[in-house]
Amino acid sequence: MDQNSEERAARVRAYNAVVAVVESAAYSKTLPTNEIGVFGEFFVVGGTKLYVTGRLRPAGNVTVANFWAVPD
Amino acid sequence: MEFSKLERDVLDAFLDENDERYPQLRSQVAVASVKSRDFTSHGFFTKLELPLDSQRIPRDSRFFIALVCAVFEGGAALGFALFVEDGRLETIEGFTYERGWPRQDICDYKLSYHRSTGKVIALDYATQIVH
Repeated sequence: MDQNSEERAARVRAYNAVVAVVESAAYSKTLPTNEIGVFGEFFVVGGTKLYVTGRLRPAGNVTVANFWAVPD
Repeated sequence: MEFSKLERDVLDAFLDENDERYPQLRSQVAVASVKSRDFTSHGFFTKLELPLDSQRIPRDSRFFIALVCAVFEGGAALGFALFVEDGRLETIEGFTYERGWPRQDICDYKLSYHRSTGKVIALDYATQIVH
């Protein structure tokens, strides 16, 4: 695997980890969303605090759009 | 380079909501230009260029403001974040909540700053971007 592939794979793993945490939260509590179904919330994933933005779908599933690492 | 209409509207939306807290941002935008604009399949990064003597924000100098949202054709949602580095506007990031960015020259959208999700957030040194 070359460096680009490794970086891509790492990003996908990070993304999947975030999605799993957010979906778990969405199932266990109501994520506050705005009028178009978008949320922006802090989550801790793998020990890192993230600000995650995504969209809660009418069917109940979640699309994570973007996330950024933020200080604790 | 000049700002696109979308970039101008996004900046206005951020400034309208954060004028009181960061009045320097509006004066920075007045003299800013586009240094570079890079599209990815999921959005864009527009780097801003400011004169060296432009007014800086004295405190909280490294942060980003999220989140302006736009609704595009068919209810597709777009999001935006504004990055400030060393007290100066640095980057506008646009991203999508859908599978891909609609197209580069979108002009038909409804833009709004949602107070429930709009936040000013300090940045860590390891900023992580999905796309």
